Amino acid sequence: MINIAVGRAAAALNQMVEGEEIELSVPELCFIDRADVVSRLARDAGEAPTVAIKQGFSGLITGNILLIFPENRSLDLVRQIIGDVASAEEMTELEQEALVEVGNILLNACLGSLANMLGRPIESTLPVFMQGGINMLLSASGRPSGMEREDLIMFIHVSFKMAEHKLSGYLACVMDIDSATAFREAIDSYVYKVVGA
Amino acid sequence: MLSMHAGVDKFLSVDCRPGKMKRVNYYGKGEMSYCTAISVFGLHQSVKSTINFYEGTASYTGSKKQSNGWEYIALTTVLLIDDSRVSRMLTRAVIARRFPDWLIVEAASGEEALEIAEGKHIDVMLIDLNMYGMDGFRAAELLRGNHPESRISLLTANIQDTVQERARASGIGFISKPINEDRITAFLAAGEVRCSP
Repeated sequence: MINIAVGRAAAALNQMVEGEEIELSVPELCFIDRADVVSRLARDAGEAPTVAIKQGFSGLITGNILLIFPENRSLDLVRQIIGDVASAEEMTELEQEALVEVGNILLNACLGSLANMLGRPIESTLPVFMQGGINMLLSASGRPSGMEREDLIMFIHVSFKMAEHKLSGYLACVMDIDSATAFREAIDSYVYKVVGA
Repeated sequence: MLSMHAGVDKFLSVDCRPGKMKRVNYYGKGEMSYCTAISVFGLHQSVKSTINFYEGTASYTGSKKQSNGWEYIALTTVLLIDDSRVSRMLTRAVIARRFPDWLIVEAASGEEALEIAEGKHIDVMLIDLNMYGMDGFRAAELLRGNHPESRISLLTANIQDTVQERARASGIGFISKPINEDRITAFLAAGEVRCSP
């Protein structure tokens, strides 16, 4: 199910970059302590500065979904997407907005197809842009921002790679354990509906 | 100047009085005039692309009428309502490529759209769903009240079935982002968009 949702996001990105193939990793799903989220993300991002677009969601499941890129490659992506319609000057000015729009489309594609499969609506907040080290995902309390309640969370992680642009990034979804339980139940009923068992 | 547009709510006004500098080839087939083009939306950014078209070689086949040295040319007008400038740029580029003689006007919010559209004829409105201020459904509802003739569609990254159903129930279209020529053409082909004299 996550595969389908992420596949939908990749298809959207693929259209935005005019057909360049996007390789996706097999999604990893695990339950981890929230304190480990940052180190888990840092393992992929390393120390390099990153940019992220974050969108909160609520409904049957509640959490945050993030699209994360290394900062030094993000302008390439922006150029690929708005290079035809914006001047070089505008491009620098619009870089952040363009990434937010990319994030908006990808994250919504992913969340939207999940909601459609589960047959339950998911509300999402407007996407926000973040820049800095992977620590930017931390709130003042030292916990991943927006996730203050439970200690155990469900973490879904998918990386993607655009070979032609040597750009890779990943999509991370963090949800609290209540959501994870509801999520599992919804998946069960989805499977039941599909398989008819 | 605006008083010249009294009662004219959907025309590009072309000033054909002597001494005007702009060269506009709006009849096609090589016939040239020296004109200034001003739309009823004022000296809007979108006028530029329209003028560019008229400077090109394409012919204009819509209706026109003359008065006091001005040509009033009926244009198909599309209003883009989206809080993302990048999204508006991308949408504009796609529409301008497929429909080079359309007048494209932009609003960054539902509130701004209501102001811009007041008293004007708009053929097509494409509205983002998740925006700061009023959302796309509310904007569509208010705009529909004043513009029963307009073809209205959501243009959104939110692909959830519930959103598509609500759009259908509200009598508006649904186009998913990222926009591409096929999707916009499919929407427009589903109903006639014509400028009448």
